[in-house]
Order: sequence, then C-alpha cells, then structure tokens
Amino acid sequence: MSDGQRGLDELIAACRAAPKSAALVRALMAEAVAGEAAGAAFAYLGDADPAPFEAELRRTVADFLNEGGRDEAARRWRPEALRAVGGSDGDGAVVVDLGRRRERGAEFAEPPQQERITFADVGGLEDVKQQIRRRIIAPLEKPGLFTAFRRRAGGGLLFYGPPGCGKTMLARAAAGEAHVSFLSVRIPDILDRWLGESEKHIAAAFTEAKARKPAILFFDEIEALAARRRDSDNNHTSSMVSTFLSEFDGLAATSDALLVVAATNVPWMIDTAFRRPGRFDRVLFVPPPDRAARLYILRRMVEGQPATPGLDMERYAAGTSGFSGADLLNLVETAIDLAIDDSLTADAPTPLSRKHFDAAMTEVKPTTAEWLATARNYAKYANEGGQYDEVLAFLGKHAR
Amino acid sequence: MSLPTAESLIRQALIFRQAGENAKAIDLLKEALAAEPEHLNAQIQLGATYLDQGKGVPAMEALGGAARQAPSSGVVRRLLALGYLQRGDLVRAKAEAEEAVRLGPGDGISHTILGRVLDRRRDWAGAEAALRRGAALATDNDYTLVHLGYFLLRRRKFAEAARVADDAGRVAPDDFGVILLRGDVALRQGRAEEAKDFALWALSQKASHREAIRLLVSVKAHQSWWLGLWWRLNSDFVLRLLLVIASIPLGIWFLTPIYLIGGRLIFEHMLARELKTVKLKRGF
Repeated sequence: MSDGQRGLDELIAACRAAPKSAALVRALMAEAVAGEAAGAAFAYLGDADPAPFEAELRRTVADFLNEGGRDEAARRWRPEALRAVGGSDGDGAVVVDLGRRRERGAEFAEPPQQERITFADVGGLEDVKQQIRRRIIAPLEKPGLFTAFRRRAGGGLLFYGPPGCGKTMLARAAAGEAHVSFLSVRIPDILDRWLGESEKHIAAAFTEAKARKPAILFFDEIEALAARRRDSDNNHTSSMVSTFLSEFDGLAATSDALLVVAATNVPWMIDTAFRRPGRFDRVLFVPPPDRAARLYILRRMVEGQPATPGLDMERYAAGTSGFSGADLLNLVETAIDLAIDDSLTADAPTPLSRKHFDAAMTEVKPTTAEWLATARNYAKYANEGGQYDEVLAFLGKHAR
Repeated sequence: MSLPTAESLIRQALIFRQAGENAKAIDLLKEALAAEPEHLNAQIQLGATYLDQGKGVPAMEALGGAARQAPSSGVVRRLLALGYLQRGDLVRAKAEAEEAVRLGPGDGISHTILGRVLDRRRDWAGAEAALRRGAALATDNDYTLVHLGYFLLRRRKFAEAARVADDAGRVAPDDFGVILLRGDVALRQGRAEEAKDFALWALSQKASHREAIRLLVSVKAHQSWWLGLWWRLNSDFVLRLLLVIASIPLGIWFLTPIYLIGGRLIFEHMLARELKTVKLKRGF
C-alpha cells in the first residue's frame, strides 16, 4: 500500500470517527487538495450525503499525494492534516480547534486574543495602515466625533487582495491599535451540512461580538458564504445568507461600537446583496507587501536562524516585488532547506548565506501576478461604482 | 452510512456542470437515474449536460424520456428545440421552440431559443423580435443578452450591440460568452486594445477555446494584415496543412512538414507571450 493510500485511509477513518465534523473535513481538505477538485468536493460535502464525497476525497487526496504532493504536504499542510494522513509523528488523532470549540458550544470564534498585535508588528504598507486608521480605528476610538457629523462608526468593511498578503493580520492589528476585542470567524469552518447548524453558528458569532463590544468581528473567506449563486443555489445556503444578513442589519440599529470586517481574495464573486449600503459598502484593497514590508517580513523570518554575518536582506526585499507574505515564507524555507542540505553534505552546520537565498530566488516565484491580472480585468471592465479604483491606482503606479 | 439520494446526486452534478466538468456531472446524473429511473429533473439535467457537450443523440434520448413524463414542460420543450437546432433540424426546432414559448410566454430563455432558431432559418425580423423579447423578459440573464448582442452585431447594428454588451457586462462580467461579446463589439468599434484584453481574459478562463482564439486572431488581423495571417497560419491546423500542399509545386515541401508540426508550438509560444501576467516594478 502506498504512503498516499495509507494516509488517505487514516484520513477517511478519522473523518468517520467524527461524524458531525463536516467542518473538520473541510479544514483538512482545504490544506490537502488544491484546485477545482477541492472546490467541487467542498460543495459536495456542504449539501450531500457523505458517501459520494468520500469517494471524491479519496481520489483527490490520493492523486495529490501520489503526484509528488508529499513534499508540498510536508511544507504547507496544517499539523492536524499531516497527523491525519500519517505525515508527522502525531498520534493519528484528528483534533482541530474548531472541533474542540464545537464540543464546548463556542465553535465560531477565537477566544479573546492574549497576545495583542498592533501596526508595529506589520511592516510597511503605510498607505493601507493610514486608510485603516481613518476608516476603522478613528470611528471606534472617537464615536462621538462621527456622531456629530452624522456618520456611522460601525458597519461593514471588506478587505480584498491577493491571497497571503496579510488581510487577517491587518484586521487583527487594527483591533490592537484601537484597543478593542477581535473575534475572528473563518467562514468555511462554520458551514455545516446539518440543516440549521450553520445558522446557529452565524447567529452565535454576532451575539458574542455584541457582548464584547467595542469589537471588530472579522469574517475570513467571506466568499464561502457570500458568493454569487446560480444553478447550485439551494435553500440551505439561502437560509444561511438570510441569517447572516439579518444579523448584520440588526447591528445597524443597536451598535456603533462594533465593526464587521470581512476578507476575500475574490471580491468579484461577492453577491451584490452583501455590498448594499450599511453592509460591506466600503472596500479596502490590501496589495502585495511593498519593499519595506518585505524587508520587515524577511528579517523577522531569518531572525534566530544561523546565518552568515551581514546577510543582506535588503537585496532580497528589493528583488521580490509581487511576492506575497506566503511567497516570502516559501522563499525563506527553501533557503533554509538548502542550508540544511549543505549541512548534511558537509556533516557540519552551514549557516544560511547569500548562496542559499540566490538559489531559492530561482526556485520561488511570486504568486500574486495571476491575481493582479484578473483584478485588472475587473478594474478596467467591471468597475461598478469605482469599487476597484484602488487596484487601478496601484497598477498604474507599480505595474510594468 | 446511507446511500446518496437522487436529489443530492443531482445537486452535486449541477456543481460539476457549473465548473465545466460535464463528464463527472453525467456520471452522477446517470447514478441518480439508476436510483430513480423516472426522476424528471435528472433526465432534464442529463439532456442539458449532453447538449453542453454537443452530444445530440444521448441528449435527445434523455430529453425524450422527460418529454414523455412531462409533455407540457416548457423547459423540456426548449431543450428539445436546442437539441434539434444542434442537429440542424430547423423545422422541428422551430416547432418545439414555439411550443416552449406557448407554454411559458413569460420565459425569456424560451423566446431567445426561438430567436436563435429563426436566425438560423434566416427569418431576421422574427429572430430579432424574439431575441428582443427574450432579453426584455430576462434582463438579468447573460444568455439572453449575449444572443441578442451577437445577433445585432451580425446585423451590423453596432451601437445597439454595444449597449447590450454593456448590459451583459453589468450582469455577468466574468461570463465567458459575455467576455467574448464585449471583445467582438470592441473590435467592431475599432477598440482593438480593449478587444485584446477581452480575448486574453477569455483565454485565461479557457486556454484553448476556439472562440477565444478566434477573437485574439481577429484582433491581430485588425492590427496588421500580415500579423493576422501569421497568427491564423499558426493557430489553424487546416491552414497549415494547406500551406504544406501549396508548397509542393514550389519544391520546398521538405520544409513545410516541419512547419506543420512546429506551427502549433510557435502558436503556443506566441500565446504564452500574450498571456504574460502583471509584473510589478522592481522598486515597489
């Protein structure tokens, strides 16, 4: 039996052992399989009996692992996913935070952050920070001022931009700057195929946020709920959307000290119902990290690693235009892998050096280019209400 | 673990169909019909998916079953009309489309299908009236708008076609058919760069789709006759073959087979250069 097949069997067994954890399977699958097959599989799981999904899961994960995906899995999968497919030294138990939270009845949100982060922890992106100060922090800090000008302080704001560029981190840092609670909900984690359960999770998230105000309630991957729907529309999804929108609209009447922020990589997929006034009517483009941000990120990642003195991160910050935060992590990890390989060959520790980074630079390519190309199409030819003006301005200034 | 129901299988099939994975959708729909052989929606969806694939015979089999069960279903009738249209049986296509319109006079898609049939029958006035009715009844449907837009384009009513294309762009900016329509309209109005953007957008969705390639080649031809010829010669196997045949009397036949094979590679290289994604300045 191949590694992939054995791992897959363990994953399936783990999923069977937790029969109500549709979200658990999704969490694993999200990390396990890339591309359209995963999308179809998720949709599958959302609506259907598990039996056909299991077959699909089996096929897609097996393909992924057998087609050289094991290295990718080792590098990118979450520890729990690795444990589930036997890729780490875990005990095979599949436990994700969500599952634990579900058991204790608070499945939707992260606990209040013990470790508060602020803009000081986010390098560069000064323009975006300035926008956030004006649009998020000031209204939460000085609601009276906004009331005087008859402007609402709360409401909704949609962050959009290429994947891996720090939308979640910025939202968390905004809460830290404003000294308010931060509640984070990853939409795919709260969608549940059991009728009525997802609605309960959504309502509970809003209730919790109201109890903790002033607060930022953050919904990641909002497109999982708010995507435009066509043939695949069904009552279950409609009911979740109704619950979400009704809870959201309810906030308008009750609280100015609660801001709902959502993040998406695909703003063009968001249904117009979510963009109506009072909902996510304001948008903020979070671009790929600029040079200062990349330098900050690279330095933080290399910090504490054995490295040759004077290893010049400026050079790599300058040469990584278009890299997302995730790409930079990939770059550093590739360089570290090369240093480890050298150490094994030499049978002595070899510190990270320019040689490793130069080699890593030839291997790792930026992943934001495709997103920017797609965004450019929408910005040029589907820019209703100027919603992508920031993308146009960004491309006008920085694209070749 | 319980067996999947026909309903759940159909829902999954629809998801695959929407993602363009028709083969998987068909497998699931057949599974649904194996569980419930008389399931009307499964028959309809199976017929429609086969039509998407251009497989008329199995499509008409599935739709025939649906028609026996629900003879007064407008949806079944309009799909049958499409099936006959694909076969080129314009008499039956017209009869089915008219029946679909009679059964559902408020259904814009049925009117649009009737318009398409009449267009093929060269009944321009009838086609235009039906297509306009279809678009008026289903204002937020890209299918009705795209067919009206292309009809107007063919009838050389460019300004009106442009308005319809704009409407379609507002309804479904990322729909493949809408992108092509907007590209063709832009090209007809002399906006070649814009048309090229649309062609590349379409190609980014379906990399080897004939219509997307056709639009890009048309843009190249608009920019320069020679450039257009060069693209056309490389993108079209038949033209490459004709070039080989034409070269025989010239005594250079031994060079052209190499080109015959290499032409596709040249074309893919040219396409890859066009499809280059956005790059940011080094200083950013």
